[in-house]
Amino acid sequence: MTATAPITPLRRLQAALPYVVVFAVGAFLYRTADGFEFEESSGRIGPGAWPKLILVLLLLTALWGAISSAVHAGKAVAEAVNEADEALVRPPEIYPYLVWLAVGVTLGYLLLLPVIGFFLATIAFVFVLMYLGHYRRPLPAALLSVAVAFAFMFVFMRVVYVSLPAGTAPFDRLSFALMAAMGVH
Amino acid sequence: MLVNLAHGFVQVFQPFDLLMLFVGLLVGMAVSIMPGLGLVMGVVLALPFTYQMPIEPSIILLTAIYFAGTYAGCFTAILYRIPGEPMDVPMLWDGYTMGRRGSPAKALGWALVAALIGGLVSSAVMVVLAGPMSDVALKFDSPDYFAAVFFGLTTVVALAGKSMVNSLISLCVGLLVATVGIDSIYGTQRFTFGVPILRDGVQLVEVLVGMYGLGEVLARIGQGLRISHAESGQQKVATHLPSLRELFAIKTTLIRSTILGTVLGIVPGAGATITAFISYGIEKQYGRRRRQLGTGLPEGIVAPQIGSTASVAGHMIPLLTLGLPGSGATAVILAAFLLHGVQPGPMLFEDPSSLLMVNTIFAAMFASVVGMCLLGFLWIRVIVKVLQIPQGVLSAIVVMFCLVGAYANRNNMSDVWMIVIFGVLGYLFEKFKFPISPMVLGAILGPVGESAFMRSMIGSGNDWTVFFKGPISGTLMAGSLVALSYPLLRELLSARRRPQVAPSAGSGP
Repeated sequence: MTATAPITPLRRLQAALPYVVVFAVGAFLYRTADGFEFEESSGRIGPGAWPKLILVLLLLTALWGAISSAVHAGKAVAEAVNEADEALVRPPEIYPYLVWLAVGVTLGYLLLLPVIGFFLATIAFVFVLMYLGHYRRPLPAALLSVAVAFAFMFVFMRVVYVSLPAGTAPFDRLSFALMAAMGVH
Repeated sequence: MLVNLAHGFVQVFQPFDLLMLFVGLLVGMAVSIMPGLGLVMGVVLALPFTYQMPIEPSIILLTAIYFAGTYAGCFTAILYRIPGEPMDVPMLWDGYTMGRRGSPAKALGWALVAALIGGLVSSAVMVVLAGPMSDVALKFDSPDYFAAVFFGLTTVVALAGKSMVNSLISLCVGLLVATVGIDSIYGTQRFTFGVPILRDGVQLVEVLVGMYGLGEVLARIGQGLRISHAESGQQKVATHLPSLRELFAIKTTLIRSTILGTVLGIVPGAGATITAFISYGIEKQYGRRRRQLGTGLPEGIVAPQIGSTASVAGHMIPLLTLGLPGSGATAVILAAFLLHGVQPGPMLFEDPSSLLMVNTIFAAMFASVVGMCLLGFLWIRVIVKVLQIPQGVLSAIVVMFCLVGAYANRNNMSDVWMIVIFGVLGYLFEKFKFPISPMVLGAILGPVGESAFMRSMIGSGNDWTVFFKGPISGTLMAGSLVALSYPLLRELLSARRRPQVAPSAGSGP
């Protein structure tokens, strides 16, 4: 048995925060749904009826979630499934900052794609992503990144016939050269 | 029926269909072995490759991944105590224990036989039931259809997670996502906020790939991308099948778990994981050797394995006969149907050309079960080598599949941006313990539900009691109420049974 930690108002707020955010977003969307424009005909419900029905359910549920999580903050009950077994399937989060770094890198990749083209952008992206995923052997990682970029380009352009971004000059020259080498026209 | 099924088998054994079956089985086995991938992600990642294929091999590929995904996870659970998916956790209790006691090959043999029996029997039952179910579905009018969707969504909410509040919020988010774009009745723009890409609505592929694919990888990066108990690759791997006499000794478990898996498979939301846990729980409660369960008994391996594999056929039939998916994997299969311009439902059984497609899918179900068991028996040594791929490399490849796969749908960069948005949303859902399946099913069934709701309301002069008046809709709505009360009853009962333990941060309601 572990020692009982005091339940501070901050902990209650932390527990309720996700539900408060959902409630606020829900309230904003309800206001938006209230303003949907349409030609009214007698007795017919409008295009906002269905979303508003869902939003009412969302608002009530979020309110209930906020209250109950604030009230029960810090209380945990023994789970039916062995916690050690569950940890094998769902380990706890230990590197939250890496997640946001990965998101940032992905956004950067999407911005770079139209400029430097699929091949070069993918090499850089896959390399960084492997690094964030704790694969930190530079040479194999670099070789693998090139291989992955090439394989994706080949499969999607040559087999699935998808037109991947070639980039702008001068980077597009490399893309076109690779495409020619693969027999993609 | 048998003649039609035979035609289906002829189709499945066409070279390309057979190749897709084989690829699907291998992919399904590989993803179910790797912790953090899972069968739903396998089906999602395969979806972009189906864009250019005819519909039959597309569905065969996805169905094979689905079936194989319920089986191969037992290899690593039994051999290395690495459950590839939550559904493999019960396999740790008796399967791994039997392995530690010196009989891992026997434990693998029990799992193989269980998967074979569960898969074949449930597929046969479902094929027989499909015709009558489609006949009933043909009688559905708008209120009945809305009630069926409502029933499906409420059971998903009731069974999806530990917190009903979180499940309901997840469902509402999914239903709202489905309303984005131009409304089909009035032509009004809803929740587009002047953003052009939102005018066409949110594509199913974006939701599925973002939530199940990218979101899962982001969550795994936060967890450090490690495989616990890395003793993998050290043991000698082989499969020893049990004798007929040994099988006869646990006949009650075989029959009970097969019935349970098949029946639970029909219930939307009761996926392979829930079915595996319930089958094990029932065995623990009513089994002849219930007190010794957990010490390496065959019953503890057979019950969850039969349950999880049998549930697949159960899920496929409501999808084909009603167009209603009951799990994440069937939601992706529905998306594949829709991408090919085919709406699953009772009409599939009326048209001779689509009837051949249905029978091909039925035949593929049987072929998948036999194929996965054969591959598991012959190639297990090769398949478990997947564990040796570094997790960082694998995650990078999965992310690439997600992004390029989404782009390939319409050659449109906005789809890729949407994937990132849904990926982050999927990660936040995972972080704050909101189950993903209600959101995804809400996004998929939302338009169907809204359309049936609006037609019913307009047809009845806005009389909401129309959903309770008909025999079919009334029964389904009553079923929904029962489903919704189930988590409340479960919470009340467990609160009485369980002792309070030390507080911990971040517990949900």
